Amino acid sequence: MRRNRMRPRAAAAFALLFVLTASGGAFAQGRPRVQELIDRIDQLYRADSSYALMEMEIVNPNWQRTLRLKAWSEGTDKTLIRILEPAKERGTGTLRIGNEMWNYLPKVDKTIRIPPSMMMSSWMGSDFTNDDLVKEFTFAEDYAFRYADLDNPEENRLYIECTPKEGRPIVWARVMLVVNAENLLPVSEMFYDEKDQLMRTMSFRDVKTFDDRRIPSVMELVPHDGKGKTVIRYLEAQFNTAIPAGTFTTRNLRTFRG
Amino acid sequence: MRFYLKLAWRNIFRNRRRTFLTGLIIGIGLAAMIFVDAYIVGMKDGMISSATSSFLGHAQIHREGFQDSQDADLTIARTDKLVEQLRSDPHVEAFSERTLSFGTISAPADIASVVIYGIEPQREKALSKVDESIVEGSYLEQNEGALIGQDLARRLEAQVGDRIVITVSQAASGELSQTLFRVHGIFRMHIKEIDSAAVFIPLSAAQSMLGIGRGIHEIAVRFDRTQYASEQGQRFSADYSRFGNVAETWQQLVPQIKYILDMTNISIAITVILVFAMIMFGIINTMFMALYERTFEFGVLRAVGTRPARLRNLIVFEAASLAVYAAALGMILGAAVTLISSFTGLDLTGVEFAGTTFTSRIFPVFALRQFTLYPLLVFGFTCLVSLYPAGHASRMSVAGALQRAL
Amino acid sequence: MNLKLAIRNLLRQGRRTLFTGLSMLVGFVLASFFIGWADGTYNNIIDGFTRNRLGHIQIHKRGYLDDPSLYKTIEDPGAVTGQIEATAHIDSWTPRIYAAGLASVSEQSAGARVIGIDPEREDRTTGIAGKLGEGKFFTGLSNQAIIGQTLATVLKAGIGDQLIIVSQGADGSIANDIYDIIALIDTGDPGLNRSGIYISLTDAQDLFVLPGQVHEIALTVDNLNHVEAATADLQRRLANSELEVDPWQVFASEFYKAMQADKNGMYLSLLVVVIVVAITILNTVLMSVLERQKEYGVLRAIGTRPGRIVGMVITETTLLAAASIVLGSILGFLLNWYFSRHGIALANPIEWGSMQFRYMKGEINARSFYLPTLTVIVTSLLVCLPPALRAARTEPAQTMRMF
Repeated sequence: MRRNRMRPRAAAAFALLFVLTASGGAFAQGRPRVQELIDRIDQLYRADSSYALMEMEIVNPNWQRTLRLKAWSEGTDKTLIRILEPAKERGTGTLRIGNEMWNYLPKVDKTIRIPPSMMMSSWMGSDFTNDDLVKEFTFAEDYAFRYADLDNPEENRLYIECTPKEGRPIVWARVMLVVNAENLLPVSEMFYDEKDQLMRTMSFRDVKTFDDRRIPSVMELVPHDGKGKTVIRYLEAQFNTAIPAGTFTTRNLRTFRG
Repeated sequence: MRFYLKLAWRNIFRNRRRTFLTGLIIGIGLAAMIFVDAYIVGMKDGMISSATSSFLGHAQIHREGFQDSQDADLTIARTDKLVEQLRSDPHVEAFSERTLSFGTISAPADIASVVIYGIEPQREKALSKVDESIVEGSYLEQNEGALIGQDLARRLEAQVGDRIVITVSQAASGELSQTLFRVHGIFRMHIKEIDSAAVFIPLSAAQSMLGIGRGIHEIAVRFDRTQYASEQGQRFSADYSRFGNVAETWQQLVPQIKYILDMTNISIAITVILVFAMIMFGIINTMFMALYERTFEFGVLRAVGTRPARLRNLIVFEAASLAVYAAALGMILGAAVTLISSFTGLDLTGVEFAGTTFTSRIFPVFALRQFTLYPLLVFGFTCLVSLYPAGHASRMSVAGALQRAL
Repeated sequence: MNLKLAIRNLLRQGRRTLFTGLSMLVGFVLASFFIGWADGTYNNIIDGFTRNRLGHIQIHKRGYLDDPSLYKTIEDPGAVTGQIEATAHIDSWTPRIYAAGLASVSEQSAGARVIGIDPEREDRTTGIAGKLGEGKFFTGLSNQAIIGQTLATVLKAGIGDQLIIVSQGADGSIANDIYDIIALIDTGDPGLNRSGIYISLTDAQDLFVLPGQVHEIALTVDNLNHVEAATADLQRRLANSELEVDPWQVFASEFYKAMQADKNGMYLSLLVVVIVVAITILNTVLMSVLERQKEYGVLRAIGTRPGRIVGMVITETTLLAAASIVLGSILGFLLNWYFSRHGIALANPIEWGSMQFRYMKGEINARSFYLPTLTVIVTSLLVCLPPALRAARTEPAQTMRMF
């Protein structure tokens, strides 16, 4: 099924939503060994459970809108997302358990199952696909990492060249990860294709403390065809928080408890 | 009797010119029928071949229900038995096993929904023209790589050697499986659906992606003769629709072509009728003119005692002799014209139709009926038509006939 | 003088005149019928295919045909239909909206193609109500849906079930609504049967947030031969807008090419028919002139100038040809007229998609007159000349002796 000019899915963006973090202490001098750094970042991406309140702003040539969402996750296979705004779509939800996915539509008061064939189509009209919500975040396993030596590196920045490992289902030829040398938080990710053209950039900014973690609260994905962007803003977040039983059920999907 | 036959034959050559002219008109009519028939057959063959040899095949076998739902679970049952049957079938020249599934293809620039065919590259060569349609890069040789259509490549901004990720949902679990492929080749088959939305990957890769083990969704079959599908199509269907599978010939798979061919058959029928009408006209005209001029002669014949029936027979024999002469003329003329034109053929290349392109010129095809049925029809028709003037002549009043001078 | 003589000559040789003239007449009528029938059947098929589904002419936003998109809409359909109404030869028009979405009935979901139509206009233009399998057509209530019969099977849905459509609106919002399935349809297009859902235009405009807009206006023309003119006229009228007007040859280009290919085959047959007609006339005219050689010899002997003889032959032949053409035109017209009304009933109706062709109908057109006329005149004149010239020039004694 075709969609209007669908954007390639944002690798790892959604996963990042739930599990960004920063290291507690800083590495004093010199830069950490690259694998350690990645492992740290990756480790800190994982939480047994999480809750977040966020905004997603989507800009494209045809329209522009901002959603306000609540999201819960448990382990790597349970996710519940609820839309709070805009008012017209308040109460709409997505539940994912394992490989299955449902959407609840308050306007018609129905829950529909998303068939596998629709998994690559957009989630609720956003630039993320249903699959983005579902996929396990495997950045650390998928790539090989090494520090890159640039001619004119910016101050206070670490540059990590990420090359997809043999056979991994990744369309990028390489990814450049830029990390803040002080707080070891990601600053930007740049995605290149085979012809070494920069296809899109994900930037991270506005570091805030949520719960006990410091993470960039704003992530912006800009494809380089100039056709728009997607911005995610974290408003609240909790990690390893207790999530009430029965949250990840279709029944809960229907009843909106605000 | 033999006397009258000999007499008849000699009579018609008495007036060489008239005989020749009448023979010509009948002969040209016959030649025309041969020519048109040969070309129509050639065009039909060309159409069928264009439609079926690109990718479709003469016939296909699927699991029941697969064509409607396209459900990846519905793999062909007892493939081993069917393969055995196909191998030992003398009418089957080649067959190819394929998987067919829907999914998406991702490239850095864009994502598109596609239909994914898992093919066995070498076996597929014998059946379809994918290998001949490569415009960039190369065909699948080893068990790796992917081929994409030119329109799709343009949309994805992908070139030979680029990375693409194909995503399908596995048959049983529905779980998404993603696999990396490199673009090995870009093809152009002149079939819109295939050029813009199809991807070919090795069969084994497709099977593991879909999690269907050694299962396949489609067997495409090519017969040793194109006509087999038309003549024995029902038998093929019956023979191979076993174990819950459905075997269909191209007539059922792409009925639009059959429809056009049916139309063509009727056109031929009408043309033949018209040609016969003109032939009839020429014969009657000639015969009457001839008889009119030979009134005196017939009067004499009657006067010396020839019975009316014998006279009638004589005239009919004359017509028959003329018909033989004309038929020979017509067959030679028809064969010659058709043969000469067959060096150039009729050019319909580039015409895209019902998902296929006429890839070569249309050449006339000689068929037995052109040299047996048609001449026979012309002969019979001529004799039949001559009965009227013959009867008329034989019943003339003798005295009146003898009085005619001119 | 010449004329009178010519007429009298013709009448004198009753039988010969009759046969020669008859050959011209029959040849003319048959050729005329063949053309009328061939053109007629082709136009029938084209008409059946276009009128009953896609329309003869379609109007879209510029670029929509090459790259369809929810956002490429005709923003002011009212202005366009105003121009349509003012264009000659247009029979009727109907607006449509196209979008993709997810269709769901109970536990089953599938990708779908949603088409918003104006029920009454659509039926009047393409006869859609006649393609329903089970169920009834739109009744004017909101939230009714008609789905393709294969889609119904895939969704395990039937009449009376509730259908949910989810998609994205033109403002980015989540488009979703629930519809009553009121009928199943066989559109004639297997792909559309597998994924098509028809809802009312207003429902579609609500669902996809396209107030007052449409993607396509399809038109039918009173006669296929007028498509070109009507398209050009509309293109002129809408020249300054962002819209493009395309005839069926453009938006149904594959079908068009198929028809062209077959038509080429038909032309071949036509050529053959013309040749056969020509030969027949040749035969009869030649025979009649040859047989009068003796007569011409006598005329020369009594002093007629060669030129007069040639003139006489030409005049007679022309008169005969003219008479046949006139009579042939009348008969040909009647024949084609009859077949354009009633057609030939086919033993096995030809089926294509949901259309059945039970009759092959002919038509009346200019070509069925001028082509046979040309054939008859050219052939008969060409043929009568050489022998006449020869007779005129040969020594009378020799001519008379030849016969």
